Amino acid sequence: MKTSFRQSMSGLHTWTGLLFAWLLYFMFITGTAGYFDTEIDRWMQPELPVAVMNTDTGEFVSQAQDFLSDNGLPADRWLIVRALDRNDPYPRVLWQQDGAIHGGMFSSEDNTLLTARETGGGQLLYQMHWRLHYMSRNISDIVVGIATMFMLLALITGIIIHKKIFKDFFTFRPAKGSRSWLDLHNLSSVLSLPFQLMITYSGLVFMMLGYVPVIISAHYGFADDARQQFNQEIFSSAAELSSSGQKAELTELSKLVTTAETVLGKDQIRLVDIRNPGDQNARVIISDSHASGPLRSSNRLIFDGVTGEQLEIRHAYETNVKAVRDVLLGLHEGLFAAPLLRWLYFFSGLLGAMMIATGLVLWGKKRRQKFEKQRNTEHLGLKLVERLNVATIVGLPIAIACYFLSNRLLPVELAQRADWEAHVMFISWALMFIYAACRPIHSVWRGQLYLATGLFISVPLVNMITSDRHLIHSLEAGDWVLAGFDLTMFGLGLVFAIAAQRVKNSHKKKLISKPTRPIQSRLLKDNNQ
Amino acid sequence: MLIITANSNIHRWITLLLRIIAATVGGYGLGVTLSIILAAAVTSSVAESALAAMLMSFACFIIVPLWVFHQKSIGKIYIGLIAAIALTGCLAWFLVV
Repeated sequence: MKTSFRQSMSGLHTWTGLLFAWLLYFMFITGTAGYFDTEIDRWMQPELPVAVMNTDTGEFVSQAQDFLSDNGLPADRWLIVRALDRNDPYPRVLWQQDGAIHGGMFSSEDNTLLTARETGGGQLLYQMHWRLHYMSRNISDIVVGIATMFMLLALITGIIIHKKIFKDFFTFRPAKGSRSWLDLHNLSSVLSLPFQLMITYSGLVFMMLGYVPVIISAHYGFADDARQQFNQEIFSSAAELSSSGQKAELTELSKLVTTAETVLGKDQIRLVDIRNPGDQNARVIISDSHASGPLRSSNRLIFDGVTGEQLEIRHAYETNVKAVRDVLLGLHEGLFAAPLLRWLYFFSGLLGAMMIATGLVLWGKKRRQKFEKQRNTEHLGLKLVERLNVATIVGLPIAIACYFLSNRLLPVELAQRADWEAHVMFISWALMFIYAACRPIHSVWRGQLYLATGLFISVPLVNMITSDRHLIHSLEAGDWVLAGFDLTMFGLGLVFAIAAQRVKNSHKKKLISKPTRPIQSRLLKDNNQ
Repeated sequence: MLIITANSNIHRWITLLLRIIAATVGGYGLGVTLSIILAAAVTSSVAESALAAMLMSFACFIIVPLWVFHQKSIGKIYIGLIAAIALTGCLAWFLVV
């Protein structure tokens, strides 16, 4: 019998969706948290003062130059980052020597570096979504690439098998078993479909140089420097100059800033990048924000660092093809997004995670129905999936809550503190897998949901006990970054509490309405436990 | 009966494995060659053409698994893919060199 295209895509959708779903869920959750990376950074370093942005550019650059001349020599490179928007809430002064980066957040008030507790912060959480933390970069790139291709395939096949995309936009039938899960899966997918397609494709574009190097080889040959040549043609500038070894005084940077502001606009400068400072071949690159719009690129002015002569202007929009790449990257990162759009990004990311989670639960529900009808016995694969589901869907948020709690509870002087925060996260996640493996499935759902409730609600409470930047203080001071974080934790705790209650109720209903003997006895056993 | 079931199971897994190989290797090959041809139509600059090909390659790749998992005959899949890659590969070679 000939199967239709739609039917054959249905199987492909199921399996491509399932195989990497747990990893994709991890990528979606950590990536979604990354939309508030600097806000999480701020919460995880409560010692920092309230950020003051958009200070006078010339004055700040002059101060930074003095600081770097005193502290940052010898160096291959200096970086002066201005606090322009939420992406850079604090000015930073950095110097690079033999690949190692020194410096950090800078206080313009007393010309020193700001000190705060060591933490992975929001950046570590965000980076996990493609670096997968414990894996080497080469392996994580391959794993993430394969998972993302599976995601893209699952999305395309999902669109093909959908008969009524528009209708699904408005359809949700609660309390109808697997039908409700399918509705929820469709609803979350359809509602955020443009976002899912964009985020998946642009995710591949981020690492395309590593995924399809054969295209560069086809155009530039197989020589060792083929990729370098390609990079040079697409991304290079007059700033690429090695050190001469001859000492020369760096020009006054504030004067270059004044010149650059005539092109880039008043107070638009984000970065002053000095290559080979103190050398005859010094170059100064002054650029505006790469987050002023979806085009993830900045306008750059390049100066001779000794004479102060302007050498080159590189515009953010250079060619159509590069602009397509830059827009895709910009849309993926969402750095340009104002608060409302940022929340929309956040909820779209959560819908993506929900799409994956509901798909996983749906797979389990359907298999369970099938096996119960056929044999009244459980299948090992189904058992494994069900346990992986709960330990991932609820276990990961539990691990993230533990990550936040560890920030407040680990000693501030602890060596490699940032690493330990991540270890706490993954150890607690591993415990959730062990818990899921050892207990009956219904009690695992309930138990982990209640645990998530307790942990998320305890985050602002522990914050209140361990720091003076607690919710009441933040609300009184109008510090909406910290207050927003604490309130979001309360909100998440509430969501998990509702979910836990619903699981409890539905399990009770099931016990009353389903008197099939072997299953009933199993469920009763579960309930007693 | 048991032997027949075991044989049909093995056959099913081998068929699936052959499809996965065709989808991944064939998808990669056709994705690369097809995107090089399409990119050459977009721009004449070598660097931009390479960048455009990379951008399009994933969209070109994705067509192959869809076809591979719909087409019933494994023979047709392999013949079709080899022919398509050979044809697009030659054309891409001609355009790039």
